[in-house]
Amino acid sequence: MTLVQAILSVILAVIFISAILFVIFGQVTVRKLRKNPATKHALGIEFVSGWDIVNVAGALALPKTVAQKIKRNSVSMGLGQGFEADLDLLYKHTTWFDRLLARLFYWSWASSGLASIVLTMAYFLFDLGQS
Amino acid sequence: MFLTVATPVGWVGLIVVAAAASVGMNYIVKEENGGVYDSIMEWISAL
Repeated sequence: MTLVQAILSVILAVIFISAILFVIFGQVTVRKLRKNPATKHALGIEFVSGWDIVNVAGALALPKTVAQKIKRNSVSMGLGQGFEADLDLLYKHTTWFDRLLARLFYWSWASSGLASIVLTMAYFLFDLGQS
Repeated sequence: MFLTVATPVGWVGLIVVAAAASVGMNYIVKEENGGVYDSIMEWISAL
């Protein structure tokens, strides 16, 4: 097994875990938020079906004080409200367990996604394949 | 960031980048999984 294959196996394993966490977080937390009239329209834009799960997880992923500081300076990619999930509303309607799930899911999702993009670029830029 | 989601060209670019990344990752997984398979089989037969 080459180094590239070892790194690839780790990334794929984390992707697999994050896929399972995606479904669990979606069913446990986001389903509850979608049903709640107070949070129904505060889950951000759905680029593809289920993307609101990622929006919610992303909003809850950082520690509350850090996330609020970022939010105050953010203009939501210059497009105003509606693209991101509403942080304050989400904190009002989630438990500590929801936030734990959000953090576990979001960081496994984001790190494996970023790592696979970096690996793909490095693979073709530096010709890391066998043969 | 703003140009990515505020213009049609940005949206098309987003789709093109996503498609390229997807094709690239698929290529890598197909090329490299043989070595991973071999080492798993070696490990199992060594048990």
